Amino acid sequence: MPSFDNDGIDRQTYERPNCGSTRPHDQHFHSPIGGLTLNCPGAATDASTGISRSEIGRILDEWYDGYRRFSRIDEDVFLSLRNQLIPLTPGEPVQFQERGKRRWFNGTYDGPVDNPGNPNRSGDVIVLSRSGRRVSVFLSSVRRQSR
Amino acid sequence: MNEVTYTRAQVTMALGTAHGQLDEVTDTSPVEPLTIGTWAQLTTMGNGPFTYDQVMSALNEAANDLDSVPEYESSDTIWEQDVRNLAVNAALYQLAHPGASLREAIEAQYEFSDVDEVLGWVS
Repeated sequence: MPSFDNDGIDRQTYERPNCGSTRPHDQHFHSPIGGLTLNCPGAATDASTGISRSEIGRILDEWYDGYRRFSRIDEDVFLSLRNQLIPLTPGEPVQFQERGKRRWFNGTYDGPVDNPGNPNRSGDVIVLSRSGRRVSVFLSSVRRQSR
Repeated sequence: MNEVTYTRAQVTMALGTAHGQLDEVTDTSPVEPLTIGTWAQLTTMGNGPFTYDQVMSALNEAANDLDSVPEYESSDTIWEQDVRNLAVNAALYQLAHPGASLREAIEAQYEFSDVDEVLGWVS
């Protein structure tokens, strides 16, 4: 039977084919995208597969590097989602870009901004610069030094 | 008979080619998280090679995730979901039929709609 949303368009005519998968990862504490169970900072491996965090990161980087031969993915989008899939842990060496600056600096990831009541800072994280200065930056402006 | 499998390079080419085809007809910002989510799904399945069903599952799971994640759900539009749906269909068709055009993919994958109608949903 055709189904209709509020716009009156017949949605059934363009459902994804064979899109009837079950969602076992609902049972897990999973990352927003990709079904990996890596949301717990510091976890050494993905809980569902046993693959190490570093291995997952390496494979994702390989996908990204290979993909750029065929199409463009914004590096900020990639880094942001990569950091969601494999959360940074406090003390981890990172590179970061300060707002409005193109240059990457070395630093150490410190954690999320402790100011949840301020929506302007939503998604920001704190990075310690090499001089020890605390810098608030977008999560998408932080990348692991290994990249 | 052995099942056909696809290397990571072949999957990458199919996803990337479909992405590039969509890039010519619409804004593909909804495709980027879909693509990365698909990589993550495939990563849980190993290094490859992958069967068609595994790639299909990865693409659909990634799309399902994006459809249901509050961060995206709250601001998502029918247009973004249509773009993602077309990206899934185009990538799968490209995987099985390398070099096919986007119009050919739509003709094959959208039984009840003509090509221009589907392109109209995402333009």
